[in-house]
Amino acid sequence: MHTQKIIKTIDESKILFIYNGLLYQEMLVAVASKAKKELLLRETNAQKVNKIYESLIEMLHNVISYSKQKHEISSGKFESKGSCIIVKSDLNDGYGVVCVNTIEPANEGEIKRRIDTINALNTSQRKEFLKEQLKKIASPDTRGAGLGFFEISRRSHFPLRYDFFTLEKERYFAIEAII
Amino acid sequence: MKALTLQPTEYTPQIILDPINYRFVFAGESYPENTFEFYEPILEWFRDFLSQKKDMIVEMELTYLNSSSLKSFYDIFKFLNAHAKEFNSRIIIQWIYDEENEIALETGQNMDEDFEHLTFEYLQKE
Repeated sequence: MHTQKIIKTIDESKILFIYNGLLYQEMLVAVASKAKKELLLRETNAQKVNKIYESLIEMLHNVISYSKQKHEISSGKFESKGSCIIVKSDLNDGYGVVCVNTIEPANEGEIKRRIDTINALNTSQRKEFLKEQLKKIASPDTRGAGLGFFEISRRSHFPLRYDFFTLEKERYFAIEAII
Repeated sequence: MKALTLQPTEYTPQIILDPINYRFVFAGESYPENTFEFYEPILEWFRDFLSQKKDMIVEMELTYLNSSSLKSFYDIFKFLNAHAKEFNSRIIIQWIYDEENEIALETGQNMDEDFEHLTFEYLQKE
């Protein structure tokens, strides 16, 4: 039995909430709502809880839309495999919100470029970046607005953290916001 | 012209576009899976409704807009702004926000800066 080891890891890592499995719109709603309820039991700062909830939704949509393991369940509706974790962070008395999914290795450079660009923006540049992205005409074949990472970073106290790693021959992408 | 009303779901807002009672409301959370598909009929409704000069108040009580919903509302406001400019219509956006939701207020203020022919009014929820 690995139970003891798993519980010990969860406690030592200060994990408050974890989900690992299939993600689709209805499951995203269930996961985000459950995470919000759990956080409201522990955290009195409602603004902080809302920021975590909203960042989690944005991250989970990214998992559904961009995971390598996604497939179409019906017209325009997708299902993917992914994980999300909320941990208590020592930074700023906050919480770490993490999401993980598989990616096509060829997309790694673009993901890195997008996050690095957002992380490097100062306050006035951030405003301009947002306006430029909103003014762009949305391409009919894209599901997002190119603003997902930006909206997560708006709610994060620190620059977004990310990591790429290989597990059983699959390439994974992990993103973390500290809120 | 027919009203367009949608009941709220966990991830889409209540929408009332009612030309008879002259109420135009968006309220709740917005993070549908296919945002552009969801909001296209809304933009179409405004295109039909605003084919001539009309003054209106749009009540925006959205507690959360995900990134693609933000883009969709930007496009709707862009159309309203163009209409207000062309017909000299007075279009008021009532941006209703919670005191504890600084992101929602900031989102309204960012939109406000881009659309000079729309009048934004900020109302804090009681």
